[in-house]
Amino acid sequence: MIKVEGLSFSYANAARPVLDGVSFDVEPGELVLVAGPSGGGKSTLLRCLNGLVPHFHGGSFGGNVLVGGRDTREHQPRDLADVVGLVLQDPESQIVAESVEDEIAFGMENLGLDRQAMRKRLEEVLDLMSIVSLRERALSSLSGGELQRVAIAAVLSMQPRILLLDEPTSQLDPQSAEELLTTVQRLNDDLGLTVLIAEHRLERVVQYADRVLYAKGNGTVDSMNVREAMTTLPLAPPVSRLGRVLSWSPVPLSVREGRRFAATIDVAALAQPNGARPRANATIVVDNLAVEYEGFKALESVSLRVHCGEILALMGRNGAGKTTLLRTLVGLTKAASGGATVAGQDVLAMATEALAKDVALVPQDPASVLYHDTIESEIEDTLSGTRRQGTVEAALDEWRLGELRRRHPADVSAGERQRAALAVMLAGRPSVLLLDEPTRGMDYETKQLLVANLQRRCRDGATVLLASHDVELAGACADRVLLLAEGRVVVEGPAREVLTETLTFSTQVNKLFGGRFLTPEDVVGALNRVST
Amino acid sequence: MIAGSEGAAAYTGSAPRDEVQDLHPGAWLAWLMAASVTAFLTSNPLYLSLGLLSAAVVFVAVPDSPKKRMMWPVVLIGLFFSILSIPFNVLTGSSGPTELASIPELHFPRWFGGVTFGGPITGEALVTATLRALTISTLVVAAAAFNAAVDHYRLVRLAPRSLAHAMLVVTIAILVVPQAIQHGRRVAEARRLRGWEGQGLRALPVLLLPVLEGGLERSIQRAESLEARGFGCGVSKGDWRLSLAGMMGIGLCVWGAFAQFYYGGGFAPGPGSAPFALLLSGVGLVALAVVRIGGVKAERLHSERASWRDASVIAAAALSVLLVLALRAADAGDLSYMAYPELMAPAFHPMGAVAFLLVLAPALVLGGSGGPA
Repeated sequence: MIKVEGLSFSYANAARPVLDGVSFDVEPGELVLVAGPSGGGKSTLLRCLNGLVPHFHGGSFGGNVLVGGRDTREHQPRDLADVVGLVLQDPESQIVAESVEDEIAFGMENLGLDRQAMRKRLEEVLDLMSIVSLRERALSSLSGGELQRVAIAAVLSMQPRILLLDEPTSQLDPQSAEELLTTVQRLNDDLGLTVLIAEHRLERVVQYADRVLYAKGNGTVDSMNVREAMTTLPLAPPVSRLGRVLSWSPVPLSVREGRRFAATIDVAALAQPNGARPRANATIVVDNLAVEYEGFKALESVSLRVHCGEILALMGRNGAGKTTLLRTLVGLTKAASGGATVAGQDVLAMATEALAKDVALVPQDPASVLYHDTIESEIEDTLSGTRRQGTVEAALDEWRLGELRRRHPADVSAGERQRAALAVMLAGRPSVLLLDEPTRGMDYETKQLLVANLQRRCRDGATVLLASHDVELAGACADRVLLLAEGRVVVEGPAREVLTETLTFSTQVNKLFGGRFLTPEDVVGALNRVST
Repeated sequence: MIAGSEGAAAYTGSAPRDEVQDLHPGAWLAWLMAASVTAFLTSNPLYLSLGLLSAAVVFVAVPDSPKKRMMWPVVLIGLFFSILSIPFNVLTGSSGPTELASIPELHFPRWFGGVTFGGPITGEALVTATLRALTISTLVVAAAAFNAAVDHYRLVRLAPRSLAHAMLVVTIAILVVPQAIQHGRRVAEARRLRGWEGQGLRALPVLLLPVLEGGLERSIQRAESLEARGFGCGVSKGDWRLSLAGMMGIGLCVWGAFAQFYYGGGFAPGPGSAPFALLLSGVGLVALAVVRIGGVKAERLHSERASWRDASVIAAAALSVLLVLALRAADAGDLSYMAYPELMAPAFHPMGAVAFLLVLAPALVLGGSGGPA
């Protein structure tokens, strides 16, 4: 189905090639996981497979890529569209039309189908992606998750034989992500569709994959057996990492596989990990806050407290109001009623720039916060703008950017750019840190650095409020969790209570061991205490 | 105030296609042509103001939408630069007998363009520069109204298949400004989060380049998606003649319009004057018609139905252009106005005014349901 031989590609003006001598085959009907660090060439590889590289991106291209028997060098992407469909990372950047039906019809119209066939396929993909109820809607009214489904439906309507998905779940809440991947797996099972998925959150995909293509980051791409990959690679879902530490063999890929091993451990004999200590000193105080956009109630009487030295994870479906809450706390969105104080200041009455000294918000899209020539000057800009105490050196060290200090933010890899954005927005030790979906598109290594840095800042007396879909991230670092649904608080409590014993919001380790265990470290710690 | 990136997508409310609000993109295209061609074909300040006013009323009448809100800054920036062009034009070349003031002359060396700056400032130059600015403002406002109202996708679909490749480039060009504005808003917010005051022109030089870069990057991503989904696939090799004819058609139309604007005035016949420019545009339009008729027709999921509203807007647009052309041909209606050799009050003719009032047509059929944001 796909045959890649000696593929090399470097973008124009790039110092080193993104892909260097890559060769692999993909058989029809395979489901392949493309993994690797950010900027390791995953997106570029997918773009090579539908001809966008080299036809749309300048650079030097070598080797052969055959897709469905067609050489991508001799065929334009548009002439490969009937064989291979690509769904890009950001659904917002790929919409063409203004209504759902038009969007789905676009590809079919290009293929020159007759109207009968188009109508039939339209109904099919609407059902397949469970978006029948959206058919009349304007795309501008859809949430990120809904848009992502429409984008996939649009590609599927062209009935490609190969589906390329570039981080399809990075915008989705756990439930939607699960549904989407189940659908993809069904397409693969029932229709024999060949699927390549690039993804960071392996716990979501690894159990469905036949094989792993590991883009290491130095230009090479290794084709590996899934179990071999999860046994040896630095990135692995929590259940596999636990399996490695406890020498379970073969290393489990899913909670289901892990259960067999977990049954051998007497969980009742283990000491439950400690819950977070109750704290007194509330830094973020929100009372009955309500926010409206043009008659739409984004938040309704939300109240919460976040204490000094604490990490609160804000979770909930797409469109539940997480972003709105964070924006309101820095004065970017006006509240309709209620009260909110952050670090003793009434944020509803203050301008964003006046709050910036004490309160830092890292918005979703890291590229949009950078606008200077070097990472160094970006950090200086924040320090002088916010008049926070701190040095450029400290920020560079904290986020391991020392060697990149004089590089242009556009010239570094995606993962490095994320670190740079964090360094820039959080420079100079603000006392309150608000992060919106910080792990979107973030690789395993960067995520660990983020968790370590947030925990250290908390020990130094900072307060963190973190909006995320990432259950494992919340499990790894949050003291308390607050669930929002349709602008209201559903439940609020210690992470070890909220994230346990639920279907969608439990971590993998909790699904295995129940109780208050959230992370592999919890279990390993408890086992060590028993043995000593 | 716009919502956050999540909010902006989620809270604009469901807006299924509403028959009353929607004009056929072809009707909008006809209107845009009429609004800009009539503005090109007159130099009478009264008519120009009338044309600008009509275009502005249409813009305001376009139903409120995220797209329209995006166009407000375009209008403001366009007007800002139009107004800025007046003192610039006056200072760089002033002649005529009515001297209003005089400032010291500044001669730039030849290698720097050889421009003379300053000197006497005359009423004639001021009036001429203002007329230019009026024309440009009309174009900006009309283009903004067009962009605020038209579904770009439906417009792209109208293009003949053989022009798909050209349309890809056009799509990038059309999207750069709205995408840059969207990106600009995020960057401006990030700047405030970094403690800098959001408002004020001081931020402009710092942000301009990253914002344009961001806008370009985003619109290229969009074009990437068009391409990946087979836009323009199956254009056979034999279609190159049609593609060429189409490109030449567009080129001739644009050239004709510019020739009219810069050299027109309808005094002496010959290259560069009105009849020549019109001939160019005419040949261009014929070429486009050939492409449209001769090309392969692609099937659509929904056929674009034209309503009486579309018909009336197209009729009004055609009538408006024809009226202006007829008046010019008959040398009636006082369409042209010259500040030279000396200043005098512009004449007014009801028939001329009618031609510019016809530009209001979309506002009438839309029923003025929009109102400013």
